[in-house]
Amino acid sequence: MSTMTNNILEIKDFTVSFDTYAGEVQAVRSVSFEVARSEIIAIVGESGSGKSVMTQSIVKLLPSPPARIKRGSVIYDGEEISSYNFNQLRSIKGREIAYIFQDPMTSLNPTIKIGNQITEGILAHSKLDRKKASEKAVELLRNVGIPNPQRRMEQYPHEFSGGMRQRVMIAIAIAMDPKLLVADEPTTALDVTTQSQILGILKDINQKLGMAIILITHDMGIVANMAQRVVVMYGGKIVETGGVMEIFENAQHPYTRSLLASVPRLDADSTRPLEYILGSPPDMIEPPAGCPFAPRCRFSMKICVQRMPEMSETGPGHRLYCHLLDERASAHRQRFIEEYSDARLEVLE
Amino acid sequence: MMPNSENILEVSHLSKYFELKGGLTLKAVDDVSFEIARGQIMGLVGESGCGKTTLGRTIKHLYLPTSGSIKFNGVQIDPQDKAYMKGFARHAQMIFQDPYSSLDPRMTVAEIISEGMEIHNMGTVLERRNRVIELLELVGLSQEHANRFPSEFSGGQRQRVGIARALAVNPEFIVCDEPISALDVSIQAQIVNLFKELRQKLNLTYLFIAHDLSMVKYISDKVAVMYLGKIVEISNSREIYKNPLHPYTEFLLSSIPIPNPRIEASRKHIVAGAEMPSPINLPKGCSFAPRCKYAFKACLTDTPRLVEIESGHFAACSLAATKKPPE
Amino acid sequence: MQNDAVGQMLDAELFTLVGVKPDEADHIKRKSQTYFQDAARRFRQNTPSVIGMIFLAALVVFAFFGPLLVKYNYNTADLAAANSDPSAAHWFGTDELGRDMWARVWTGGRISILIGIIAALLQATIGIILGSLAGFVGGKVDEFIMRVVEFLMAFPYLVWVTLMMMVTGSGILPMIMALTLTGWLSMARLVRGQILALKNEDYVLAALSLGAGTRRIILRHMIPNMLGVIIVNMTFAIPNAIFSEAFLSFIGIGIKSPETSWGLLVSIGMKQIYTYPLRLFLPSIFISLTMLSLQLIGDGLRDALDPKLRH
Repeated sequence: MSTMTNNILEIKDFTVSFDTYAGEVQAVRSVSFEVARSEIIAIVGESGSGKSVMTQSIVKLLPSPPARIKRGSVIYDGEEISSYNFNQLRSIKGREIAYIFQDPMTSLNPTIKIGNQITEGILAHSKLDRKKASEKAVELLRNVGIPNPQRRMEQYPHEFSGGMRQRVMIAIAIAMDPKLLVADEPTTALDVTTQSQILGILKDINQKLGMAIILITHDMGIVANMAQRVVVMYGGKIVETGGVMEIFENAQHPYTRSLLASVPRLDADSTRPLEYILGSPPDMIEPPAGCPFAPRCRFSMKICVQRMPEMSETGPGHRLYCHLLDERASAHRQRFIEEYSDARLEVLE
Repeated sequence: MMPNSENILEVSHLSKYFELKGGLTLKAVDDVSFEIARGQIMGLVGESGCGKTTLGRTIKHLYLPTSGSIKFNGVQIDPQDKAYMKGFARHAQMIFQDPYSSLDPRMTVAEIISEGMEIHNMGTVLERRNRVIELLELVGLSQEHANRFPSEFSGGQRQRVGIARALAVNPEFIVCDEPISALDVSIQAQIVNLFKELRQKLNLTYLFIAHDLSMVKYISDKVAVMYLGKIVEISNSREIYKNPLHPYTEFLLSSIPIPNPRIEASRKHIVAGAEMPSPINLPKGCSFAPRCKYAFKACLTDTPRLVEIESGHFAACSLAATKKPPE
Repeated sequence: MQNDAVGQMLDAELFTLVGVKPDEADHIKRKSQTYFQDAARRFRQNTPSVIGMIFLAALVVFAFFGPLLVKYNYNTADLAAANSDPSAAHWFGTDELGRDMWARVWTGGRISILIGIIAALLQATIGIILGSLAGFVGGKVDEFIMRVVEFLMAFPYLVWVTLMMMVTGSGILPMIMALTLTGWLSMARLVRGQILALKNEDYVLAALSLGAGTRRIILRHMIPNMLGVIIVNMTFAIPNAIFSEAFLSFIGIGIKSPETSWGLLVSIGMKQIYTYPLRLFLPSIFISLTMLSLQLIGDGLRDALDPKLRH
């Protein structure tokens, strides 16, 4: 069934729209990237970038209508699943690809004990009997660091703190040993000290179980802490992809650079001003024909407004969609490089 | 930017308790004292449940203090003095966290911004209309936005409307309650820079409440750290990172990921023993003791007071107090 | 040669710097729509509600202009033409006294619909005032008003209205009074609930923070945000009032001759159901149609005005 490709997930030309009264919202526009087995990849983007819509559309989680997958290929573990219907996808959802979301309270049923919620999931996807499923549930809770798991099984969601609930979500997600976990802003609603613990658990299960993780976040600190590769999205498109070091130290896209420079750093000298990007993310109803970042880009050129740039590789695994790479833009590119080369942050030590 | 040595705000032993059903008391803010000098930006950080929002709202008198005193411009605030309170409501403003619910969805942007001026009878209708346009431009929006409704704007734009609303009445002091938490990263930088600009232009003073210590450190002159209703450390923003004196501050700092993969790879993140206790039934002694890796026996019985350990650097910790150079 | 040069120039042209466009960066593309414009659009898309509106409009037009279309007065007897079937001369036929049924039905309709609308409006006014008081002031005032509401609600509405009518006597004005004094309860509860919910909204807190007083908060912030539910509640209150009027007139304590109303016509028609059933069916059908139309409109309005379904 699965060919021995190195990638657990390959997405090509993936395009998703929403049909609303105001028109077609082109949330995801021709997106292509891969996730290697056991890799932690971060998808970074702000509101309207399409990151959540894209990852949820892989297994058609969004109600359709109004969501509509217009085209694209999704290859999971060597198999093309983009044409699968709901029933065919059932065996993949939960068992092969698991999801955890930002707010665990809405994903958990407040009227059912935690233990039962986990056990039901296990029973639905496996051939274990109830007793074994229950034991497995306790084991899972223990693995995600919940103390007294036996006792906790008998409790209801409201008796758990936010951090604990997210751990339960992780336990449910990994119950069937999925090969890919999609974590959509899993710590955004949590305190930073709790966040630190949850991220630790995710790293743990990545290392121990070899599970690949797609981590959607807007927090560059989390990206630096967790990810091996980074995908940067803006306006429904991918603008840059690369290894985490490459992206942080040698980003080539003006948006990526601006984003990195607009994040305050604990260890930085406060006198250096934060960069900020003028304007707001684009309205995806009438997205511009050219690069979506052009209206806010200091280095945009006429061609950027007219045409979407082609993909270029600036290094191994480092992909970029930007007209600045064109040799005819070299003067502007030079300026771009200069502006950001002396913007190395001073580290207090 | 030399702040006037005059203090715009002096908070003294301020407490705000909530009585809950069953006779329990929630000590949301417990015996808090600090000052803010004119033109200063004071940051207030803490995690959820620490009481920072309650503190902000109590200072603004949206909640009435349970005990303690607040002096504004040297004058003690008397909630019974209606005339004074109306003036205070003008000179001290508030900016709210959620840009999606802090603007009345039925009012146009122009109406929202003018409301303060209407309440305090400032200017004629024409003057107010001009001021609205002036304010919109001040916050980086434009005249075309004046007759639109909040639902048509993005989060960052709405927050700018909220700022314009607060500025309309020419306040001196603004309590910013998590003003950027609900915004995208690049927009956060936009808004924070706007705050800085406005401080320069209009000689404002801020109490900047947030849970993101990185951003608070960036914008503030001095930072206070809150834990379960008490302030545990106050220092200037450089010192708070370089030299945290309170174990909770140290714990907090170690949990914050830094946007630099090389640094992150080599960092060790402190793990706390227990979970944060409920603010309703606080343990005796130092409230951080059950999770503190340095705690000794005395910490469980003695409640440490906030004392000045080094110049301008305060901490409420028995251990830190030992580092205080002898008189 | 020339083409090359031109080609190159065009190329270079494409790579001239444009930079940030701040106007575009913050520009809002979509057309501005007020809450009510958006609601109207959604309402228009709801077919049953639109049909309800059409029916209601037709009924109201007939009620007010119908009697004018014939030369007969609703009360003028013409024994020569008594008990005639629908014909060119009498579109709905005549009753036992020779009175033109078309005129009677539509004049009766006028009264019934008017009573319905006026009673609903007055009920809403009292309900809003008392509900606002209870919700905003709270404490003892709230307790008192709510106890009154609960006490009154414990009895069946029609029992109350009947008792009230015994006190006020029959006729149009007394009936409106009776309906108003007993029908404000659901609006009061609704408004109180809304106010309690809105009190916690951030924008109310923001207004308080600016120094706004109670009056401004209620009038400027709360009522406009409650208008949706108020309108929906009123839309359902009208058919309730119409039905109550019909019932009271039917049992003989509401509208009495020489005035007429649909309820009274039903009462008269009931007695002739085996002989002249048309005299029962006509007012009954129109009462039903009116109530149905208003229910459909109410449903549509509730969905259209629901802020959560916006966009």
